[in-house]
Amino acid sequence: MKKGLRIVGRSVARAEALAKATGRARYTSDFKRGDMLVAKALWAKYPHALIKSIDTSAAEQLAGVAAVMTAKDLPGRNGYGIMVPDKPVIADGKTRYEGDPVALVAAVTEEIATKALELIKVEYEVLTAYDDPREAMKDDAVLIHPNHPAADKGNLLTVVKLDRGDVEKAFREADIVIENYYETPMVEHCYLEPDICIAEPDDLTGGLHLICAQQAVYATKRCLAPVFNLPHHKVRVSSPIVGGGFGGKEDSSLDVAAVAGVLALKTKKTVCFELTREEVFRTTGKRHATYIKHRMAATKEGKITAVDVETVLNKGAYTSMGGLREPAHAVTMRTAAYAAGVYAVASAKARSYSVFTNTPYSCAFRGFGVPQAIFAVECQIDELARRLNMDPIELRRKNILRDGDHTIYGQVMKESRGLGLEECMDKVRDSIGWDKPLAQSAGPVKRGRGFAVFMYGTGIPLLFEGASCFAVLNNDATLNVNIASTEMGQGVMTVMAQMAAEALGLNYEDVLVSFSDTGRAPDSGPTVGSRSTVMVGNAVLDACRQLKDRLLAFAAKPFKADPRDLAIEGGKIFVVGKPETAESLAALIAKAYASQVPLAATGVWYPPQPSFRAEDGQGEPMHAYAFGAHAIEISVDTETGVITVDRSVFACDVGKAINPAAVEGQMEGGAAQGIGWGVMEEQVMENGVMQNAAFHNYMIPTIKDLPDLESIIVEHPNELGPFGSKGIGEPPIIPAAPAIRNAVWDALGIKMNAIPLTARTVLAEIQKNGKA
Amino acid sequence: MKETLYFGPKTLAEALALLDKYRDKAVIVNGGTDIVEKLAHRAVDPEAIVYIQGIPELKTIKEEAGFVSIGGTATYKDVLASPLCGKFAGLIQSVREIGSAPIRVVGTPAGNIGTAVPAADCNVALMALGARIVLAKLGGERVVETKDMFVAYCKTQLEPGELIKEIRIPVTDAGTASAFAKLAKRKAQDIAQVSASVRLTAEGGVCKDIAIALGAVGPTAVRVPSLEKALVGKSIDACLAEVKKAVPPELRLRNPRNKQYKEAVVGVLIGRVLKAAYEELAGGGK
Ligand SMILES: Cc1cc2nc3c(=O)[nH]c(=O)nc-3n(C[C@H](O)[C@H](O)[C@H](O)COP(=O)(O)OP(=O)(O)OC[C@H]3O[C@@H](n4cnc5c(N)ncnc54)[C@H](O)[C@@H]3O)c2cc1C
Repeated sequence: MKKGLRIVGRSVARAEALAKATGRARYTSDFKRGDMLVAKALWAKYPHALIKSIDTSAAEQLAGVAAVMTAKDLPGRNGYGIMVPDKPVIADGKTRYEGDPVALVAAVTEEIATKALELIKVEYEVLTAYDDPREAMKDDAVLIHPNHPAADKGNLLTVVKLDRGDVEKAFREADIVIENYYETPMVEHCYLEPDICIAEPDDLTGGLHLICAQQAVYATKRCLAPVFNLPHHKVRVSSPIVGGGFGGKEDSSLDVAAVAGVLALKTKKTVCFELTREEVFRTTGKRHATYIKHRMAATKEGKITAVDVETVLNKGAYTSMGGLREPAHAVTMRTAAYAAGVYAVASAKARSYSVFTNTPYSCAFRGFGVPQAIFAVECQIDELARRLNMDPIELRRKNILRDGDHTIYGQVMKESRGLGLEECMDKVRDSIGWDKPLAQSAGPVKRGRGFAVFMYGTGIPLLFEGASCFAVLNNDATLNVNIASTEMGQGVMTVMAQMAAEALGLNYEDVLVSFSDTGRAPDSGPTVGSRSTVMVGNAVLDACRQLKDRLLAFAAKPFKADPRDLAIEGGKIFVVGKPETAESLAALIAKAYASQVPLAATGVWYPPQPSFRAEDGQGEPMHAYAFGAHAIEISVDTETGVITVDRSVFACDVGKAINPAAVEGQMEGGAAQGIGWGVMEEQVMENGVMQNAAFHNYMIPTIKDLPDLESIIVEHPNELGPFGSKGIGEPPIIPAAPAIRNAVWDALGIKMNAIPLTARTVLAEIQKNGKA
Repeated sequence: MKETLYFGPKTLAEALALLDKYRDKAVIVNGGTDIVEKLAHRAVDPEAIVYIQGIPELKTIKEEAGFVSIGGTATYKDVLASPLCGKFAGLIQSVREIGSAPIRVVGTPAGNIGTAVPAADCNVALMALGARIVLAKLGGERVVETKDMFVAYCKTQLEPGELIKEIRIPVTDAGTASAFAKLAKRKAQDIAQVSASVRLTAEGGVCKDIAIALGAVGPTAVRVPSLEKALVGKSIDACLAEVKKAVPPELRLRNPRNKQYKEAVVGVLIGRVLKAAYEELAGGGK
């Protein structure tokens, strides 16, 4: 008889909650020691310039300075990057953005290191700096990477192409065509913990230990070993708990680790490199700004027949999360793949251009380009509904992908992997009272309601997919699970322990998950792409299954029972239906060890092999999708342009909520971040120089800017996910911005296609439209 | 690296003696919410820090001789808790808008004046209320009107050796009310894009006397005499119609990115505070 779940599906207390709540949890900066050297970087004075000369002699002579390094002093390759090693550790002859280090210093105190930077003299020849990829794409633009493998395409790094069906014909025959131009801003992740790395030379091995807040310890090892000129096995990378990452700490961690590492090797001392908040703003990766031309063809009955989409992405100064082989561009690829959003559209053409500029490099940021693509689609369909005078939810219902439908990249949608979008839409519709008109007041405040939906493929196929872990059963019937994933507040320690305890019949408290240390765990893959619960969870289940099988096989003899009739629960093993046979699991484990039964295992899981053809963007890259629907109510003060978000009702299909409280946490956090993206966040650049590099002028929402964030969990199980789960880390950020934009249109009758919808831009539109 | 001297005087006399000794080499630290950041980054690098929060005699809020006076170390939290300050709706509304609860526990109106940024919220309310600032130094005191206090961007009349001893707000009768409003990019913890405050005396629906102050529309907070003169003697409805689209000549906006927006909303904001003050008067005149 199949029993109900004991631990999975419960909101058990987070494993690290008490330590965090009491301030005892140790983050990387808590591991600083008095005898460490402090590193500082001399950043590029000009974002795009040739370096004519560098004179470090005065800095070297300053008492207390242990090392001054320029590009000529590096131990190994002067280049790294997740996909392409085109970002220099220290700028060599050229700067490409204001976050390029020109020289590095390690000194006994921060004051001395700062003083030393002031003593370094650099001569530059200034070049035109580009903020806008549309400018940098022009034929006569100055080349940002003259020696790049992609330099024959100018500043264009890559184009992702997607073609399906006969797009020209579909547009010719369309009853209605919606065409718009959309813009979404470059934004910073704004994680609480600034980037930091402590690099310790290991005198026993001749290697290096990097203690570094990050999302991908194995990627750091792979990317930086050549920089240190060390074999991979001598580079150990570990990350204490992380104060937020949102995708950024897959890349910025490389920046700080490269600097701390080369200085540690040079000085043979432990070196700490920690960014200030201003440095985080100016130097680390960002969300790609996008410029999207979107055409949508439809019949007068409201069936979408084709999309034709051109997206220009601001790549910034370096490749980061992108490759030279076209499909390997995680973000660029997704802007093309999601160009029709959640809809079944027979014909599609998409071109996504990723272009170098002199802004900070664009990298992974919660959603890998899907939020940008969905923003455009969800605005388009709203306009289609207006033009056809149809209810926007009913119009969506007509078009959503269903079992057996193909996405525009050829993926077949499967009910068995969980297709819960329609249920999300209905729950949100009921909960917000969609059919009841909003109450309006007589004054200058106008109210509006907007709706948007999303889908998001779990994981990061084509880059690195699959996961491994170690699991060890101890003599007291407790379990250690070692994974290389990062705990950054999302609760990976907790859900892995829940799943392992459920699978092995242990108590939740009897499982301890160790995380993010290449010295302790095999590669679980990076902690990005909403992948860990599914990929790493499956690997943990694989290990637990092996351990359980071995234990039960061993127990069969003393219990005189078939292993299939044995069960483990709450630290006891017994014959199913005969509680009197129960014996202590610990005693059995002790006997098993004595009898040469191995009770350590490596768990592994890979999803179905993904595909995505470079020629036409067709394939099956994803194995399962999370879905969601979001309705937002706003008020607009028509005299000041100020938008207030009054209500947010959000439903997500997560397959199975392993820990519902953690899922709600992701949904609320995503909604908040999405609202910020929609109405206030923006990295303002002028000629490569950030104009708002502090939290007093770079706005993110406070609790007062948010309504009560209502979350509804929907569960359509994924047959390949552990307990049916799908990834829900990133996608909750996606629909808030288009929902707000659609609500503004509803409130004012004004169409706005560029976010953020700040008071300034909204008021300007109101005045332009004479609606004040 | 040179050491900075730190003093924590317990009396006003002690503080004044220290300020007299170190003159422009001393920096006063009150709640510290503005100045500590500058000290930490060495944007300000004094010889001596004089921390004044330990002076009990400066903490009091009292009423005497027709004024409510707020001591030089009283915090925003003290102001909000004070029934005497509660009479000035404009003051209370401005203080509620400052930063967040933790900032209001330590930040002070005197520090708002000392920093003198054009967007300082409390200063704008004080200016409309016609507050006077008492500056003390060794062997003397002088009184400066808030509207004359700010001489340039982040620059006040305060001279080396001087300290803000108290802020005196004239007590008004039932025919006068005040209000403050701020427009910012978000709803908490943000600097004003534009702020406005009024003190209105009205009778029979007619404006008898009005003071209007604006923040974040030039290098300092300003009074708006051009509008004030134009409004006296008019009905409140006429005043509201007149201010709504007003772009007073006292605005000194340079940044083209801000100019258009600030000009578009400044009249709206003046209208709102005017209306709020009038509604308070009309709503029972208590
Ligand atoms: C997160 C944050 C949010 C904020 N939000 C707002 C806001 O919304 N609105 C706003 O207006 N401000 C805001 N501020 C700024 C600040 O809190 C206020 O200006 C506050 O009034 C400063 O008071 P303080 O006592 O902390 O001043 P301090 O930092 O101690 O001093 C400020 C200056 O005044 C001088 N000074 C202080 N007291 C005296 C005195 N008695 N005599 C002579 N000189 C003196 C000091 O020497 C210094 O130059 C914010 C600050 C922070 C950090």
